[in-house]
Amino acid sequence: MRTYRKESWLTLICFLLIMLFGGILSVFFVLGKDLFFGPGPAFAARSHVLGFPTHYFLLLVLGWFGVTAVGAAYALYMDRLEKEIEKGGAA
Amino acid sequence: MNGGLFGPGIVMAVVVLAVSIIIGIWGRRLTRNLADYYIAGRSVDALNNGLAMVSLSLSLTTFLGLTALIWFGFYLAIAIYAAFTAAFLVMLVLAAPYLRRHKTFTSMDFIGERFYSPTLRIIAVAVMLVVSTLYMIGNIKGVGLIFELLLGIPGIWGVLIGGMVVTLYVTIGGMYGVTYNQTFQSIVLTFAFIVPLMAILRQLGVAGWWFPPLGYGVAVPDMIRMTPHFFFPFVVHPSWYIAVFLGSAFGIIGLPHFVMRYFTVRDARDARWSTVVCAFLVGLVNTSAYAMGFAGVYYVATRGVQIAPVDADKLVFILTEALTNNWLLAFTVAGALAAALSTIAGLLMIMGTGLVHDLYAVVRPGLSDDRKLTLSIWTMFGVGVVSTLLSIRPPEYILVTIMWAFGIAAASLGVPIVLGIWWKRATREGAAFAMILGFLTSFIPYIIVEVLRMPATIMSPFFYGPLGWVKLMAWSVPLSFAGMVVVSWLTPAPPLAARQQVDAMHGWPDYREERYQGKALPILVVVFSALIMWSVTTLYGVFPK
Repeated sequence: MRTYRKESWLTLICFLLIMLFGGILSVFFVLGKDLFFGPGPAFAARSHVLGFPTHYFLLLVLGWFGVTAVGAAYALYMDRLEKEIEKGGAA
Repeated sequence: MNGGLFGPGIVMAVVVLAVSIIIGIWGRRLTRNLADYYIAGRSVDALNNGLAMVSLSLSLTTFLGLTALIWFGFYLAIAIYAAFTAAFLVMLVLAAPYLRRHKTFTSMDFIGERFYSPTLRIIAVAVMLVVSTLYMIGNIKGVGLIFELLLGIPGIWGVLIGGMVVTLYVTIGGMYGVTYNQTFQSIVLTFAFIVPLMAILRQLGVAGWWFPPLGYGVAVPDMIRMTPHFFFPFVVHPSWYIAVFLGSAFGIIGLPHFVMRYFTVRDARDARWSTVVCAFLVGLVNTSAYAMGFAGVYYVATRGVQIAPVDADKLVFILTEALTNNWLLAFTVAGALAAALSTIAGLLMIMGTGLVHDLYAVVRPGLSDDRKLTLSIWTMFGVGVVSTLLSIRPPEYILVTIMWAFGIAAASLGVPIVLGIWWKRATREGAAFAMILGFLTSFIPYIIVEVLRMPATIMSPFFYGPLGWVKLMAWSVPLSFAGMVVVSWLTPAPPLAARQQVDAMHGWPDYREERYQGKALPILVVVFSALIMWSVTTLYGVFPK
């Protein structure tokens, strides 16, 4: 059952990371409005990375490189885990 | 662009169309049997499949719809496409390699086998036809728009020529023709989008023009001064973003033309790596599209040029024409055409296969493979002709229609596919309940909002604001998940043969009852479903309505 648990945990962790990077990140930007922006009505980004407001930069980078890196790490690990799965039995 | 014939555009369009047909004929020579025709003999490698998925994913909406959405929606449009890129990785971890191991031909076939029900397979075909038609019509309309706007040819001819060419090469070449065409189109559209964009950014004086996805940061202070709300994420309720993610992630798993690509690869490893290749390239083009949207808003704000809202769909072409030369514009036309053809081809393929393999062959069992092959060729031809004719009177907004297709597919097909892979206890009755409930709770709102043109708030006061109906997906998808779990618990466990499929899909050579049977998954699914549905109705203290 060790391999089965590894597969389940790996899938859950990767799914949560992808969900965070690809979608839920923006929820935090909305809820943490005061942290990322100054007071209204003249809201202004409080910090910048490479010229972009930090929250926007995070969305760009994590929504592309971030999720791809998670996918590549998952694929690499699964390539190895698959060999254990193919043994079957108590794995 | 001024109504006359655009010579370089015509040359490039003819080249793309001619190469597509030649590849289709070549694909025909590789096709020897039914498995070759439907799924390219399960012989496609990871790189080829990844590239084919890129052009399948980047439909004409990348050229026509996305930049227009950025024009109006700013940050919201970018959040939608970030979720779309991430959706491929959700498909990777939850579905792709497992579906490949299932050894079926289509999503509908999978549902019929896993849930031991030919009836469910037929229902899945009906849902597939609805979502594929919604997806298809917008793209064929776009081909007409390209011909009309750029080539000076009436749109009706664009629809007919584009529709017929793609029907021809899909019919002739089957999945081999479609795959290698999509690979070719993927390369064309990627360069056709990024190279002109580099020239546009350079003309706008953006120092980082050589890397469009992250190169326009230097122009951000000017943009903030002129259009401060460009970067505001807080113009919608937080649950809107959750809904977008759910619709994208489970929609992509539910859209059979995406899933079908995984049945063509050699093994589960290729299924995984092709998704990684695809996500990287889709992300590259999407982040470049954000730069194109930014450039459009920036161009108007800095140069004092006016672009009418009705022309927002043409933003890519307007910028390319204004800031580059005719040959780059023609190259963009070729890219847009390639994007449209590849997506239409994938849709034709799944609709033709679904109708023959999953509908006719179920109603009339015992058909020989030769007969199925002949029927498939004629059915695909028929579907191509009917879709082309339907596209003569298309919906108004391409991208919005496709977003609805994602939402409907997520709630009605995505949910049973995911639970069918990960939960042995998922039953036929549970799947039927989820499919029907998911379809009704998303298709009826589509009719209300897009066909009857009623405001989304008529369904719920929470569906207010820009693209407010999107929040519907934060109800329909969790409802489908929770409904499937509850009904599965209340009905008899699936037969052993169905449970064995789950272990086999995950690669186990033997069967163990305790795998994929735990209570944690169904409990988590129900709890999270309830929380997500509740999130739509709350937090209005933090985020005033």
